[in-house]
Amino acid sequence: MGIMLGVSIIVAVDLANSSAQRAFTLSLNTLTGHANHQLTAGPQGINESLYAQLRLELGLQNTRASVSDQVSVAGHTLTLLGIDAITGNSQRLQGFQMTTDNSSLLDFILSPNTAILSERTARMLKVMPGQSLTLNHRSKLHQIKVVGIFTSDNPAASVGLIFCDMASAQEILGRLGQLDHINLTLTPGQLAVLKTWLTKQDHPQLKLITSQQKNDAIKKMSKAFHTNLTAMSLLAVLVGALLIYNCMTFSVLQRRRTLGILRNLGVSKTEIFSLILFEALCLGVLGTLGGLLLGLLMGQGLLRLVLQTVNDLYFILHVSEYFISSWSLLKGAAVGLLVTVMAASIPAWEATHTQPIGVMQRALLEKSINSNLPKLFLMGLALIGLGLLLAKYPDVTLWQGFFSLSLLVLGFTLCVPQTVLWILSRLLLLTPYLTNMARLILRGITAGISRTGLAMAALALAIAVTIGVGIMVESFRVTVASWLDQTLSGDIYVSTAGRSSRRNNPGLPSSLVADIQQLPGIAAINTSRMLKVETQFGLIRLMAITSAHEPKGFNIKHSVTDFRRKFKQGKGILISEPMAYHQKIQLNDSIKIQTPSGEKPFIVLGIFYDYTSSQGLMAMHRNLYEQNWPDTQISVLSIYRQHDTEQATLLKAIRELASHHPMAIVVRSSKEIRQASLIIFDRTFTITQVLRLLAIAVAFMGILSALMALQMERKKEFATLRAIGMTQGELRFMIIAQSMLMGLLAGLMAIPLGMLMSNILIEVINVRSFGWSMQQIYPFSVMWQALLISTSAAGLAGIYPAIKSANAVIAPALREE
Amino acid sequence: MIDKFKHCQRPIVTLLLILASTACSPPPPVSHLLVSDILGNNANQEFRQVLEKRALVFPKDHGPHPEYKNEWWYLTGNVHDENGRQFGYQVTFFRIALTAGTANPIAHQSAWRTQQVWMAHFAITDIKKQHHVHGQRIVRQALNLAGASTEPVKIWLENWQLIGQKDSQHGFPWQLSVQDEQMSVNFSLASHKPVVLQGDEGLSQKSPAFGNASYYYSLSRLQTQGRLNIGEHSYQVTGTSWLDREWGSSQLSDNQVGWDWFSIQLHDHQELMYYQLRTKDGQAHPSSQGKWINQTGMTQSIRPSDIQLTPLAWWTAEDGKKFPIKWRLKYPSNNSDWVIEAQVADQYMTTLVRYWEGTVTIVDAHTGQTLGVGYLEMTGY
Repeated sequence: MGIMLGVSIIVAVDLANSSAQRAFTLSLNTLTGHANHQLTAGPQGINESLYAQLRLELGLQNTRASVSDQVSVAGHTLTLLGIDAITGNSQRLQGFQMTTDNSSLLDFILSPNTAILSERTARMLKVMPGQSLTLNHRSKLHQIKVVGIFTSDNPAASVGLIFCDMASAQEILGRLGQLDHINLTLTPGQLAVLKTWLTKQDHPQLKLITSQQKNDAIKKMSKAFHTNLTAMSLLAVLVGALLIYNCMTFSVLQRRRTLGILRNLGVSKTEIFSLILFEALCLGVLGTLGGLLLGLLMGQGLLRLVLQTVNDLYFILHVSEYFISSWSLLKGAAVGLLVTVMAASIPAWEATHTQPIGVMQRALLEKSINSNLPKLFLMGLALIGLGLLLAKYPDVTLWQGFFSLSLLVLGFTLCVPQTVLWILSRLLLLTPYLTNMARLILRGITAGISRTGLAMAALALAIAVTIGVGIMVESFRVTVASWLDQTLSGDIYVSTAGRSSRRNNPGLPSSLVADIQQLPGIAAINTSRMLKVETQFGLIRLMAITSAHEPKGFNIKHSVTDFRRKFKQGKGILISEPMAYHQKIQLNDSIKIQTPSGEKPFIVLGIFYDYTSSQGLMAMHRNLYEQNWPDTQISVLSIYRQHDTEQATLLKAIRELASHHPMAIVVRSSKEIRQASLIIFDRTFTITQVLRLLAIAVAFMGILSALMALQMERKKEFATLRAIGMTQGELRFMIIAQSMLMGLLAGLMAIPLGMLMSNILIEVINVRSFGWSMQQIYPFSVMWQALLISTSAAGLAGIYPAIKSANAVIAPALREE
Repeated sequence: MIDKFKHCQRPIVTLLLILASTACSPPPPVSHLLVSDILGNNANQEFRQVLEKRALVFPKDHGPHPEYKNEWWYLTGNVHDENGRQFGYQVTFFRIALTAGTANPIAHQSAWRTQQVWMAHFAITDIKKQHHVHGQRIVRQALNLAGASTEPVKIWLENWQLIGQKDSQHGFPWQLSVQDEQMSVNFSLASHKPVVLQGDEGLSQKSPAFGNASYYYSLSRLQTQGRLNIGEHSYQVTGTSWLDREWGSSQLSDNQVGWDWFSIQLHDHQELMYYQLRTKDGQAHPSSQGKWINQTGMTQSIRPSDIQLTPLAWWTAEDGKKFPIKWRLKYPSNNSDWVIEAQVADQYMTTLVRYWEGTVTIVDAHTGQTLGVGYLEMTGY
């Protein structure tokens, strides 16, 4: 059971992670095909005549024009992709087959507003060929006729895609004359020709990149998130391994007597050793198989959560196929079997290397262990120290982080028995004041320290994981919440609806901006223009702001002296913390940004906190922006009301004005934005919470199996107690209380470990992966929840042995020897 | 020559099917379609029909006729280098209208929107190496990617182009420039013989039904010279080519399954064109016909009763189709008794529509003397 759970966690997390990664790669491949190069011209797009030139003048056959954007249909966000269904060589959607053999397919090319869908997408949207669907693209509605359905060798790749002919796609997306990019499959010779040709074109925005570069850039975006997941899966390995170890140790320890008898009967050491290992292997195989199955099931659930997070944070990922990677299964199986055998070999070695008679006496074992405990404790401390030291080392990679975490855990495990003994011995000093029952309870634990210590260590570790993760999430949430409070300085925000992964949203209608300015009760309005620009670090969001009102909005981390004045004078820009961290940018460095008149350097005046994306954000003053970009559009208005104006009244007035415009405009109060942001935040960490719950389940299983084994073993002791007059109720009470005490102790010990863990998690995962700095807080709720969980889990685990032992008939239990 | 795309509705569906399943490594499912399936007879009446004879005017009729459903410029030829190394080549431009008339333009219409699709086939046969290479391109008539114009004559599909000279009736010499990944030709073509009007003064009736016809003319002896590249090698070549021009909206009838088309250029500067339409039961259809062209360009019509065609040897393609690659042609009134044989057995075009098209030699059946070269096209097998 323990093995099964351990393996299943490893497998589930790993599968979810690798599935998400594959989904991601697949999505990329569907969009870029098998091209090895891509021609882009930044967010403005490429003139389609360039595509014709490539084919006509250079004879480049393997070129594919691409136009796509996100649209929504019946609440689903989908990608509308323009394809050239006529030019065969340029299509690389492999393995597709139309199931609709229908002459209306001709409509696909000839008629506007027609599309073909994959079978799965059609099922998802509940449309049949010939039917129409209403598609919303940036708040503009289009009636699209589905003229065909296709199946594909790889159905996952086309889920969530709406295929239109290039003509229809351009018309629907309002991209006449424009392409997003051109995908090219080039031979080295063609590449050289193209490069020379491009240098002769007067088109500074045009850039030729390899598909690898392109994919890497996108992959980098979600790397932090996957790092996070990988860390979780490593943590799962750790917890799983310990659980398995715990389980096996018990199963061997429990049968020391039987083993001793066998030794006495003349079975050789080697035979016993291999017997135990073989048995362990059998158990391991069974447990692993069960674990793999369970892991497969759990992984599917996890994947849904992972994709949800990816969609919230990065981009729409349509693929939701559950890929069962044999590598993940193998990894789980390997850990399962290896740890099982390793775990069994330690007690097996011990059992075969003591005198046969000794093996049969537990007292001897406890004695030997007791004498070693201080040594183990010191070793443990040393390991903890080493682990912490490693984690503090600058530029810790994930694996180093994991290694130091392992050291920490191992060290901690070694410390547990001694610590327990110490605490209990302090408690026992109170003996005169304690009832006999209390003394029995305490003694019971110390006497079986070889098992109880292990059980408590396992429980403490599992609880510590929940504490560590809990602290991390809570710290992050508090940080983000306070950042939101500082950033959302305006009262009301007005912006255009819709988000686009690739291109720039149109601005707010200028008449609306003028109308809002006329409204009474407004103290000030700040405007900003959001767009994506090409820099030497790739596509990064740029925010051009005015600050009629002194902007409180920026929460500055570092800045040059007098940065506010310099910023207003257009002497430079501000960048976000993750961008500075990832790109190793410092104050006064310059960033090259593609402007319509070519590449220009901009000096970094300051670095501000930002948690909206791990990809980076830049801010410049509106004046500087308009000097370089011929663009007067406004994306967002942040409105400050006068103190005597009711927010609700103003909100209503602005909404009324906005409703006169056909384009969808979002008018929200800062409070609403704050709430919405935190909802997304919580959703993002759902997966983390689920893993936390899993860790608790593991802890519960661990304590259950450990305690059950322990209490079962003490049958004779219990029988003796009964024989000398303890009632059934008293015995039950004793066992349960003992369990709960162990749970409580484990919970207490878990707290410092959990704090240390959270430290490493925050340091390694969040700061290093996302580039976000975080206030570390130690929420009380996480702590007492942990204590409650460990105590109650332990209490529950005690119930079965308590009933069983109390109901046992005394005589046979005593007679056994 | 007979068009391969008489009925357009189906081929384009087919086109879509294939394109949607592009780059399938196994042959696309549609390739199993018989040519006759594609060339049905349910003509779209909105297209202009070929109903009556009309005078062909040049250079105008070298250019496109978009009001008809389909049209092609079909070049085949035999060339050799100074060492006598021989090659066959084929370059064909097909224009296919997806629908008749002009669609109502919509506001904000994309430049990609079109009703005309172009397809081109290119093949070279290396006789010494017994090797046949071919390629295909399909492009919409949009963004200037493909099209045809009259003055000067220009037919192009991306950088595959046939361009005439300005300010003359036929614009000779024409420049043919076609490059594919593995091969290219850069030829100059000029005719020393007048235009041959096929059928009845250019109206070629393919079956008795009214409108099942095309306008059809040929340039039966185009002097050809230029450069031919195949693989790593480049050859300076000369030889003769044949141009077939046809346009129409519907041709084959229901019981016609395909045809065998011969274009023969004899060493004595005479030519013969003959196509045999085959019915479902394998018989020659009475609408089969041809032309004999003498040295001065005078022509004489050939009816099925004038000629005897017998297959002598067959070649089986990978997909199981069998093609007769050796024929006996008897034309008694002209004292001709020839053996026509493919110079390479596998000259199978595994393009969107599959057919056999290749260079042949003509040998006197009695003396064994080589009389000339030619091209053979076989469909519907």
